[in-house]
Amino acid sequence: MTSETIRIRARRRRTTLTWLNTAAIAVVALLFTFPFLWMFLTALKPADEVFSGSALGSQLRWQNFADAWTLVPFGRFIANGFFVAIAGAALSVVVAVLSAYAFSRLRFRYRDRLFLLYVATLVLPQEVLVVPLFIMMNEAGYVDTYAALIVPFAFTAFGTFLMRQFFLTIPVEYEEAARIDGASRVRTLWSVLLPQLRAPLSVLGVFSFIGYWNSYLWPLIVINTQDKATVPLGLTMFTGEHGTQWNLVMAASTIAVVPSLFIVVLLQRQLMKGVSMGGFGGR
Amino acid sequence: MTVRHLTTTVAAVTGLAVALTACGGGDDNTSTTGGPLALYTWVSSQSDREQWESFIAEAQKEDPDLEITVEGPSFADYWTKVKTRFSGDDAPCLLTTQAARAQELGSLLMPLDDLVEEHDFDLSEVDESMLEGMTVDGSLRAIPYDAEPVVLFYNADAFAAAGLTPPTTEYTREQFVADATALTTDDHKALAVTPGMFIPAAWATAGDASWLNGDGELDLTNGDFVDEIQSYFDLVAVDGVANAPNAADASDVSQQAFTSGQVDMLIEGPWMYGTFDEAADFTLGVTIVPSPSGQPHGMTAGSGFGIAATCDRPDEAFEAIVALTSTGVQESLAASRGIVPARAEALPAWAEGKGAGAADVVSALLSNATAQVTTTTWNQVETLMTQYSVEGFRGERSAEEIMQTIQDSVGG
Amino acid sequence: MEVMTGTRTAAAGAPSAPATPRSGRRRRADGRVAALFLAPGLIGFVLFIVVPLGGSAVISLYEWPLFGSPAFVGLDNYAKLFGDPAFFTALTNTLIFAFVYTALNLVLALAIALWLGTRLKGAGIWRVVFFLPVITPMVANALVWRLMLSDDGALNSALGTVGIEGQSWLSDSRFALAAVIAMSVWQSFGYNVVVITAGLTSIPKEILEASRIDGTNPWQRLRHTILPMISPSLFFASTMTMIGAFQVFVQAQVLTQGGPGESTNTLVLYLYRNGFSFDRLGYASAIAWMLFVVVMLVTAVQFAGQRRWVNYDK
Repeated sequence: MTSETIRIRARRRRTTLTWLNTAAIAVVALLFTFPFLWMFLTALKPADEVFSGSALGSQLRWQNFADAWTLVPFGRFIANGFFVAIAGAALSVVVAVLSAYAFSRLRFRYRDRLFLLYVATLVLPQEVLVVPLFIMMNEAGYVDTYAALIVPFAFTAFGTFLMRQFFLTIPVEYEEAARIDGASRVRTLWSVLLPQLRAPLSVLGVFSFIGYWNSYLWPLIVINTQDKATVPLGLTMFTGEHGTQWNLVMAASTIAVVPSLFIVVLLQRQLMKGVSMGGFGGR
Repeated sequence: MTVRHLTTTVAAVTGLAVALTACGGGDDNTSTTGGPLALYTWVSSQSDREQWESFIAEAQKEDPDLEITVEGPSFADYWTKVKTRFSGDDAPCLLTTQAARAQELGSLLMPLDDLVEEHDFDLSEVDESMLEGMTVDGSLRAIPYDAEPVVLFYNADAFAAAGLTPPTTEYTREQFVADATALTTDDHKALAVTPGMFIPAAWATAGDASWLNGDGELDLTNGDFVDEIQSYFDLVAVDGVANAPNAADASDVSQQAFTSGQVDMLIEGPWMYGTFDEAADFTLGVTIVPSPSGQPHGMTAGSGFGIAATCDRPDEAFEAIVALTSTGVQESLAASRGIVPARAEALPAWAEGKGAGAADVVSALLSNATAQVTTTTWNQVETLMTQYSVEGFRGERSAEEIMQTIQDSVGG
Repeated sequence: MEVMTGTRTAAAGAPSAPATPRSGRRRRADGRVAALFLAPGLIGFVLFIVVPLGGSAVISLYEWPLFGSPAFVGLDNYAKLFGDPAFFTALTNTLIFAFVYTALNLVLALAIALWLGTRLKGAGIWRVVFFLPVITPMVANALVWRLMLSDDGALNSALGTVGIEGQSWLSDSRFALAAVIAMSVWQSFGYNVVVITAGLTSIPKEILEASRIDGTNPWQRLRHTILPMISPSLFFASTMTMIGAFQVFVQAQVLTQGGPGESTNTLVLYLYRNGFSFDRLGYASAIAWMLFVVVMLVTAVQFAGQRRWVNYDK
């Protein structure tokens, strides 16, 4: 037996082990996604077979998706959800970029102390603030408005903190050069710094988007009508005066999950990078 | 994100905003400057919306000039949202309340007694128990449109197959438990129960017990009421004629169990008659909630329209309510939506198309009915009972302990 | 706190602008420009974080209904809170939830992250799969779990086919909190898989290679090499997971409504109900402050404890 064949055998055994290992994790991952699978399967069942225990109903009722869509104005909830999440993410990004620029590039009194105060609020649960925020919104007449959904949560320290971390990784010389050429601060920020920060910007944007899209407690408190409801709130509306229709709830849940799936598939690189660099977002 | 992308995004968002605002239109309730009156009510689904629209359409037959717009959250959120809605300045003039919630919303609702007198509105035609239910601090706060005594639905085919006598306008507890036990087998229960206070309250009312003391204060721990609740828990814990529910189960779980034939009996509001009749492929029977004596004592649930305390057009609003609760409207809704009308003269419209005797049962119950009068803290009672009743059904806690806990939490 | 301000990280010190101080004139100009750049964020920060935080304290001294005018009651709300058994149950439940959930979350995340680091195909894809429920709406996630865990649900019928009698997972007080924890861990541990993977990939290959040559077994390598090297990631993940755990609301609300009894009632659910269902905004604010204090205490303890096990030297 030559050393060559030993090496080939060893490699072959390693390949087999790799595939076995992969198969094992595939099984675990499949079990892990079972709730989503069940959600989808239930969405296709007739109403009286939801609790029948079998994976497939006696028929595949695609009609359920249409019913869920019309029973409550689900299209409206999705449009609201997108609008609030996009506007909220845009506002969060703009605010964070401006603040982070000041904290990382400008020199002013109390800068470090102020930044510490910002960072300290990272550990503040937002739930602590909902009662006073609600009273403020009510006094100002903003209950049941998009503004109430978007504005109060666009100023969290998270975005500023994350952006500052990224700003600090960019050498200041680029801007110095631009500044000497007479460019204003805003212009430098826009045309010199931001183009180098596309990835972090989309990370922050995506996380803010997800935060808004999935938010439940605050919309539950501040939204009164179906006209302004977002998707998570809409999902609970299937439980009404006359009870829950589980197959339709699951159809609606499936619809609600789809945008998140798209985000994961399309933006997985940014997401993974954002989590590993910023560590926390989307909570 | 490049400049171009950002611009596109901003444009898209702005476009979406304009579109959303456009289709959300009609939010400006000009309650101060004439124009349509706004009605704040629950709108859980398209079906709810249609119900309110048919109320308005029918009322317009009485009063062609009537204009009413409808807005509101889902039924589950209504009791919370209504308070915040009416603390704003552009609050609607009209609102819906259930008798069970009238106390809780008392501060929002204008006393109607003077308006009733000025407009010569005849209250004698309206169900007495419901009027009592809509009375807060001695004054009437809403005009009821339905008076729905809680009933026991049953699967008449299952009764016949088991050789049992189908009950009608009299039903004793003893007979009920005997029938239920006969219908129960190892893998089949006779009855379905739900968490919460609504059905237990109807059960206790049938047994002439009340959760209020003579002064209308919450008194969950009085002996009669505790005994009634315990006997209801015991249907599951001792007699084993029903399964214990999950705390998060809404009434739909039991309803579905009934219509699909998994159980044979269900205590529910008579407004479910049409839905059950349509969903079930058996003969639907209906009888009174069983009582110790066998005689009917109904607990009425029902809703009505009231005027916001902040409304500055009370006369107009009252006229609108008169139209919305007229006999014609109630007859029409009884026929189309299955509500049990608050005016006795409209009851035949409900009976039409229902099984023989259904109207007799409802009339019998209404002839000795108590409204589900509650307290301002009822939302908390209901929430806590939803949490705790599961343990009661499972026999893990006694009714006495649970009632004491709830009384302490709510009172303390 | 210093860890998070970044003052200890390599990135923080070096390139920041003030490293090149110029004339006093320039510095004043910076102040004015800074004010402009900071204004939007700072106004929002004050208006939507600082003011509500203070406001919460003020409101907790009132009996404050949703409709009608508030009445000053001093410390009554707190007095009532300390005599309220439901509050203590909710507090205990929340603490149990936070510790068990955080521990399970980290152990699972570490296990999966280590597994994904072994020889297998498509590690990136599997990581994304585990990340999925993190970003799907929590309400949808909780709804399907409620369906699966109900008495006639998928779990019990699966158990039935292998001859095990099912349980009332959601309506038996022995299991309900465990069910809420299980659902929450499933929902969120994928996040920490990514955080820990980032820590693992930053370990220099040579160090692992060296300890392998030293003849250590995998367990020893994990215990004495890998864990110390990723302890900053672990510390960070545990702190943030714990803070998130104290906010548990949707799971309890959707799965069990806080029941049976109070067995799954949590601080935020109790806060929400008192404020917005039971019409006691003042009392809810008192609960909010207790939540705040508890989170601060737990976080402080974690930061104090980090010196014992977190290793920042690479």
